Amino acid sequence: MSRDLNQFETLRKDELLPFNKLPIFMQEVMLIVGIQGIGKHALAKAIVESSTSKTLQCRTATHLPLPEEHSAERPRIDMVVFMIDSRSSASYIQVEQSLQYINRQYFLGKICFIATKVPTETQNLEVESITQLCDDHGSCLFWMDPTSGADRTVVAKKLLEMLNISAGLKPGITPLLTDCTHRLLNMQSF
Amino acid sequence: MSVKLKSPSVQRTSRTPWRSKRFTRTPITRSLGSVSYTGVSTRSRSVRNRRSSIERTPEEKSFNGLVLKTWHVYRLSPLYKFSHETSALRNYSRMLSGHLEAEYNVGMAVITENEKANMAVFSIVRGLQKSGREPEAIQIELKQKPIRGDAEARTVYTAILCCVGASDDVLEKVKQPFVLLPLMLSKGPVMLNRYLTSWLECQFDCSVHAAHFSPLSLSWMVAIWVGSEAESTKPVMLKYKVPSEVEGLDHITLNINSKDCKVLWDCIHSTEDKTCHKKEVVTFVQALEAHFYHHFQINISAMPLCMIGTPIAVAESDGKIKIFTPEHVHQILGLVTEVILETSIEL
Amino acid sequence: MDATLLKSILRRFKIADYPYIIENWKSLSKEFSDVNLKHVKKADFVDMVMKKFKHKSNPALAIAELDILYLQKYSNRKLWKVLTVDVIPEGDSNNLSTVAEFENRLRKEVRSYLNAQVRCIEHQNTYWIRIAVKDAKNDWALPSVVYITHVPNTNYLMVTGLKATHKDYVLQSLVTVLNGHRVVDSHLSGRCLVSLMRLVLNKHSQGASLSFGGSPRPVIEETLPENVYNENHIEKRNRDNFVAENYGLAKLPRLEKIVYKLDTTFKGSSHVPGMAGSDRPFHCQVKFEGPSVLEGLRSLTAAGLAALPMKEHLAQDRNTTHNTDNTDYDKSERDIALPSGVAPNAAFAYYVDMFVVIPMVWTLIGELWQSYKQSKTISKPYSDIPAIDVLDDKKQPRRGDKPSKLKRRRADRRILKNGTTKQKLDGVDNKQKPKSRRKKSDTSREDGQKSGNADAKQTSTSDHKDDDSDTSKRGEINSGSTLKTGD
Repeated sequence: MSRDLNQFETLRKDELLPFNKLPIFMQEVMLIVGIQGIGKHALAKAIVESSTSKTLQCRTATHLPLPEEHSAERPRIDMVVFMIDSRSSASYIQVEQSLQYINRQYFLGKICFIATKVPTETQNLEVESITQLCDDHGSCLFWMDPTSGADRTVVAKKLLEMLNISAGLKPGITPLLTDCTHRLLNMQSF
Repeated sequence: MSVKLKSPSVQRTSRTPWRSKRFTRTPITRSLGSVSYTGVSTRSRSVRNRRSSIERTPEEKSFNGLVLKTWHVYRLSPLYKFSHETSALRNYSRMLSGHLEAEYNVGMAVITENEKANMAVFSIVRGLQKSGREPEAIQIELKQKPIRGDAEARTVYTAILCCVGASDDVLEKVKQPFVLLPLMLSKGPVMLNRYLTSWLECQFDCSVHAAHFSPLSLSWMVAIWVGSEAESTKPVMLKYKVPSEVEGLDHITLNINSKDCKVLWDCIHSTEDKTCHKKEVVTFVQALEAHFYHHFQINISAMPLCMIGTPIAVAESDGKIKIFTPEHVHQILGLVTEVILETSIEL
Repeated sequence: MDATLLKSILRRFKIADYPYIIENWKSLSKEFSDVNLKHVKKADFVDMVMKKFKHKSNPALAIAELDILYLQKYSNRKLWKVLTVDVIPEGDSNNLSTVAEFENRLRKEVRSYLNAQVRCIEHQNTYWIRIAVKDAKNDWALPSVVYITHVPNTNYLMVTGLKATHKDYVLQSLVTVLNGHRVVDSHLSGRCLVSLMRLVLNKHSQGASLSFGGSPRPVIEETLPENVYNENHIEKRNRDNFVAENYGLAKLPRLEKIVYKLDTTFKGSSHVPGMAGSDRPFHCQVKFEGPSVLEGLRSLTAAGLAALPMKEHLAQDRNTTHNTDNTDYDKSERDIALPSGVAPNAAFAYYVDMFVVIPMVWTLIGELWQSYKQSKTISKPYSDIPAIDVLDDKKQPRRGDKPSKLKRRRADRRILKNGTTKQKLDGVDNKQKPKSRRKKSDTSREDGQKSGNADAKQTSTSDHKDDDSDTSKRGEINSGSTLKTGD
């Protein structure tokens, strides 16, 4: 599919594009990005277990851009999840840098953030910085404790819902719709 | 940089709704108070004249009891109907002694003879406030008077309740009959500490929580305290706790020569500037971590700080501090008070 | 006094150890043959032993044996320090072939200085020596005991309990007995005696999987369900391979602390531009602590907290008895004087000099040559892993840096790549930083290396004098120990 490039836009070479590959029938692919040891695989396992679909794929990465070796075989990514560990500022920095490699079309409801290990006493990052990051990108934020199975299941279910919508498997609902309505509900300032 | 999407029809708020409720934020700037206690604001001069008990004789001498000891830091909510009058203090001493007796009779805890205290003494510690509006500091000593003989009572446990440098808006919120003494420094056996806190909670309807310094607060502390003039040759220490997934390694400690550290801090923060910005603190710590990374290729920023040391004081994340010089007591306690006032009680 | 001493030693044992005592305590083994240990209490056992002990003719020997037994079992309760004895190579033939001779000789020496009891026992190919020094003033006080473990035919002594008052005497007597002329503190200490021995004695073992003779741990592979796919699995695999090759799969020896002293210029100037131009050294000290620091470092890499390529001194320092004094631009390694018989191949030994406080002194300021000089006979850590080559080559030479060990290492690796053997005793192959002298760091590294060997030699000889003077100035870094360059 063609993209319109106006003079102010530059297409980064390694950007992750949402629509540059053909979709496979009934397949949904999620990408989880976060530094090593943050709990991506545990979350991915929880997602896979909660899902009934056989064509669900969960891919994990420590940073973007993704390695080029398998870019041909990689299916198109429907949704990207960023995990930030509040105990390590390195995870925040890495997510910030990875965000530059995401095409802006992802930000319409195909991205979400997960903050882990909040609140704890050994927080290195301010919660505000994480929430600021989410607000800047207009995406939603989940809180999760990666060691707790219940937490993982709950978040996995929510992510699955979002993934279904992002992959276009829910008739009549698009990610943009959820994104707009999600924002509207949160507009009242508390 | 990623593009911020602004859809024309939908107003995106820049505040996530839950943020202000649950999590308190560290301030962007903090003022570096002057080191010596000369600052009594003009506003409080009238207060000062009324309270003629505030002395202005050299306070450093009286701080010798504070210095060179490891104190546990607790946070107290405002005390209800706490009076500073001498008669009231005598009353409190009596009540606390009675409470201790009662606790020993209950006999729930195992206490060695050395740790038993049968006398409580409340006294006022002069000179620990920064402005006249703050209540005076109280010292509670639990002493053991020997049963036989006339020997002096031996202090077994000491606690100091004080309020150093709380900001004005906080002071305004706390009105009579409440008294704000948020910082409690305690030193002594754990059981006595528990008896004291339970008595305080019953008597003054407050709540006592052990303070915990987050890595952010510790980095504020290390940055600000490095900047103060000190003659000591103690190194600046940053101790990181290695995450438990890494077996075998517990802590990584960086000890930096204090003079070199001061040079670094002066590059970041100009000495005339009286307020310290959060960015400067973050830069300072990041610079040290980058120096470490250059040599070891280890991402130490992924690990939480658990203890910091400077030539003037040492602070640990589980709420212990130790001050080395009496000249900087105000500055140190002021920062500690600010930090604990910011942490929410639920944490 | 003997009785109290014996009692105190006996009480230290646990009840579960009593069979062990009975089996191994040779002095009293005959009397113990009929002992029933089923439900014996501590007090009963102690009484029983005291009774049998009364008739003993030589109580000192019995006590010493028991003490050593205790130490063999609970050696991790003491802090052991490793000392190296400089042995005179052409010394007279070693006539201390048995323990008894060794003991007699040692006793003579020690008695000439101190009023002490000396006992040596051989156990599993090591000599366990107990020197109980009686305090001159208080006759009734318990003696202060020094325990020394020595592996015969090596130069290493593990010492614990050495007090400053009789340190010199004890060490002097040991040196005399071992035909040495000096004792050097090798800055290695720890609680686990076995680990220390492994580190010290296996200096030259190479290859990760062969090191230390431990059984390799099974590599735990994470099994992911079929729908989960790790995009970075190649990186992960590389990292695991790196860890396996560098650290090995076997269980690493236990060390409690590693301390590095850094005296380099400040390297975080990307965050603080004000410090960028400064030449001033930024002194700092880094300490790694934990129950087993080497394992921790390995896990750090495996967990991704440490980026690859791993800094040489972390990955390879384990090889050394490198407490260096070199003034490389960043790190200096104090090369320990190796006895001349030892091949400098030691470089790669997976062994680190660690001790309760191991200063790996990195002195920056000053001559780059020093390391170079000393590197002539001293083993350098090398990496025989091509992966490091590849990764390191991507590093760009830094401007404004003092010339580096990195350059030298690079040269090493080039040699390796060409398939030549690693160690060369002459200093020629060891890197040169010809440019380093001029302190111009913007010459590229390749140039540096290509400059002929001849240059290196010349410059090196001319600098040798400077080096020595410098090292003498830096004597304070290694307190008490002296450097000896191989030349």
